[in-house]
Amino acid sequence: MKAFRILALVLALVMVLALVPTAVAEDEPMKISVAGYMFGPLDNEKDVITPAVEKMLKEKHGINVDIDVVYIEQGNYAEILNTRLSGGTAPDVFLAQSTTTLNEYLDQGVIRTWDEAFLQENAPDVWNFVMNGAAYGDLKDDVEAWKKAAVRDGKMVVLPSFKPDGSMPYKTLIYRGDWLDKLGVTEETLPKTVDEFVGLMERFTNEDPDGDGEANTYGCSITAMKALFGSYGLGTGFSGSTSYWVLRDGKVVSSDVADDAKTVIGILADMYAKGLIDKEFVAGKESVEGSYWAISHGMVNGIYGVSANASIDHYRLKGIAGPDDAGGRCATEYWQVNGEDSTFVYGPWPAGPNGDYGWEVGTPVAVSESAVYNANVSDEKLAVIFKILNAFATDDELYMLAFAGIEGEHYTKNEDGTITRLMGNEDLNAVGVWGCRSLYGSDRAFSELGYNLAFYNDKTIANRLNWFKKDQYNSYIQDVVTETLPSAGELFGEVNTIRDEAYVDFIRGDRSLDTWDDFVADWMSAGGETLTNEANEWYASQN
Amino acid sequence: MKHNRFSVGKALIYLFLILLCGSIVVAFWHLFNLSLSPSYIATRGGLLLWPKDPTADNYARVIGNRYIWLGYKNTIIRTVIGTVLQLFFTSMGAYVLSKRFFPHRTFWTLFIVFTMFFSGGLIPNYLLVKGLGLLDTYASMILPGLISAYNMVIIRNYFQSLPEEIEESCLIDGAGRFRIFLQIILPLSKPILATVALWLVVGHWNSWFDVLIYISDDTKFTLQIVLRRIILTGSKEILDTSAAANAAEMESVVSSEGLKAACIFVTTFPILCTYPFVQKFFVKGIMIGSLKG
Repeated sequence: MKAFRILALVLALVMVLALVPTAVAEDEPMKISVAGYMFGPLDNEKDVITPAVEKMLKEKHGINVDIDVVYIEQGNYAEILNTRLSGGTAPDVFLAQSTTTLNEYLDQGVIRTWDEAFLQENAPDVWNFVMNGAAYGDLKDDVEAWKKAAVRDGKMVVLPSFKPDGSMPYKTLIYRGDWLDKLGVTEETLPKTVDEFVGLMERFTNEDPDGDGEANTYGCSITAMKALFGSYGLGTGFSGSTSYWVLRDGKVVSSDVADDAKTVIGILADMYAKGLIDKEFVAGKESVEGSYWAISHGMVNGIYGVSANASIDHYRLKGIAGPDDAGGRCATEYWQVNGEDSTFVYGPWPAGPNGDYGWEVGTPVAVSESAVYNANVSDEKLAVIFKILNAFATDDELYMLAFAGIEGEHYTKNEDGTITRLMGNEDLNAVGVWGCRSLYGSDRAFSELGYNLAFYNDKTIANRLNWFKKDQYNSYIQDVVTETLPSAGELFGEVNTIRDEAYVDFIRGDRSLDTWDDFVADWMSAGGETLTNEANEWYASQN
Repeated sequence: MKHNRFSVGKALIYLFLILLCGSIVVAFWHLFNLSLSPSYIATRGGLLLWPKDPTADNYARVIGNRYIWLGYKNTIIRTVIGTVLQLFFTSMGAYVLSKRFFPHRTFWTLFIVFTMFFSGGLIPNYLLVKGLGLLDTYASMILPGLISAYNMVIIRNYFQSLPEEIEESCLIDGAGRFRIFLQIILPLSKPILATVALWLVVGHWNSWFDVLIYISDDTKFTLQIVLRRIILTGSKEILDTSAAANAAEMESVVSSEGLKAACIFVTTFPILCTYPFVQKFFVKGIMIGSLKG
């Protein structure tokens, strides 16, 4: 019996001792590693922001954490992360990168999910902000899209960020101002229908708008040609990209092979035959290798009258972003080539017979810079992470510290509510600014301040938003399928090549438009049929 | 003096070589001019034959970047240590395999050559390096490639071409195998060792992927990683992720073409300079002076 007692005593002692470290551990900060979007590595010697954020979290919010900022190079983010995931060395919080990678991570069980109630409980202010986006005008309608992007099979997997300009067309028709002046076209009389558009292209080609007496001008560039697809409700990926899926008679059809695409190609072939399109339109005088991609060299150098290779912000006028603003990147190039007084004009999208117009637009929410959480993150840790998320959403001082650094040292506040950063992005990252980025849950905090700084106080974005609110500068063209199809990676390369070759042949007149059905058959058998079936299945599952 | 006489064939050869050199020099010359150009000229594209509005700003920025110098240090460490160790171990292995009396020589040779064609793959390699506790160490850049099967076969073939009589005479004089290897075989094999060393140096200097995967400590990043970061920051590939989000931020992220060019110059110049010094070994005939004295 004595032996039994001693054993019992020892066991009791062991149990008490086992409790001691736990009691001590409660005072120890919880370690959270995070690998967000960074321009360069954090310099542990110079890092002043991360310790300051940790201190503020502890003192103001009672959250005791040790944040480990992990730098993963953006260029090979997925590759590096994948090796670390398999080696068990991946950080607790990392980027979803895209819907495709997000779904892959989920399928492979490397990221964790949680219930809506869990988020509501631990980050109530974030939840309220998302659900009552009413204060932010444009966000109000997007709550459903947000939920759709955040939830898989009833469980939440990611916190998407709102993109108030996501449903605006990114690119815009930019006309040469001098050519319009020469032809007596004003902003009001710019083409608003397909016929008017083709008519102006004819005048650009035949009425010598550059006034050099030579027939060396063309109507439009390959990007501007694509605007006509929008006039027929299509979002084309012609020349290298994947097209949008559209609804026709209740079925999902690719813009590549929809009946309307034949109509558009017919118009373009007709324009080509009349010489309104550059014979070398495929080789392109738009983006030129080695120079900035958005510059349309053909338009800037007076070969085309209109291009749609850039956004309004690329052709931003002087002084919009602030007194020192020298103008958008393409605008400055345009002025350098054509003279300081030269002008360009933003054009409306030409409308088609059904009143459709526009350019492909994205979704009002995005996950590319949103955080996901490692599958081995415990409920306890996730609760702490969400509490931090809530702290960023409610405490503007904390958010400014993590997002911008120390006032006067890393940024200054401007009168209009914007900030001016005092260092380059890489140097800011070195001192710890943006290190905690993914702990906001997305690339910005779910707060008024977060969105004001990212969008509404930014004059260049306000400028774009104002233009896109105008009728016919906005767009109707949206992709019906908002998720990556299972066979997309495998099949789109081939079907896109078939489409590009066929379109070019049709437009150049090398192939008769009577053979359109043969092209559709080729497209279908190369994988288009599988993709179309998958698109329809997906669509059916959503409605 | 027949060989000095002009002939059409020779002229054509010279012409071809001049054009070939020209095609390489022009690219470097363009890059050099680009590195001296201010950003508004560099974004325009097109070939630059002379610098317009030359400026040293790009170089000042590159030289002012702390990571460039850290990168230099790390690259030099890995290149020097890596090359010496690799050369030593590869040639030792090659020496053993070059001996006819080595038991099961063919089996062992094939065993090593097998790794030339089949490798474990990225993730198993990562797990191995992690398991050995090499993550975030210089060893992770050097040890996994310590023996290169290809180089070993090349060196082995060279060793096999050396006459065995030399070694036999050394053995008679009382030298051991290791002394023979160090004092006879290695000095005789300078041309092949120099050739392989150059490959190794260039390989170490240019390699980046292992650093990307195995190293997360920013003070151990090599030059190519820094260079890559500066170059990639300006490419469309990265920009597209935020393309629709914020055009203003996007523009600020872009490194100018001039800056990229300056970076490329600063990082590749040293390795370009080593070529002429090693080149003489390439042309040296085998066995020169091996039996003198």
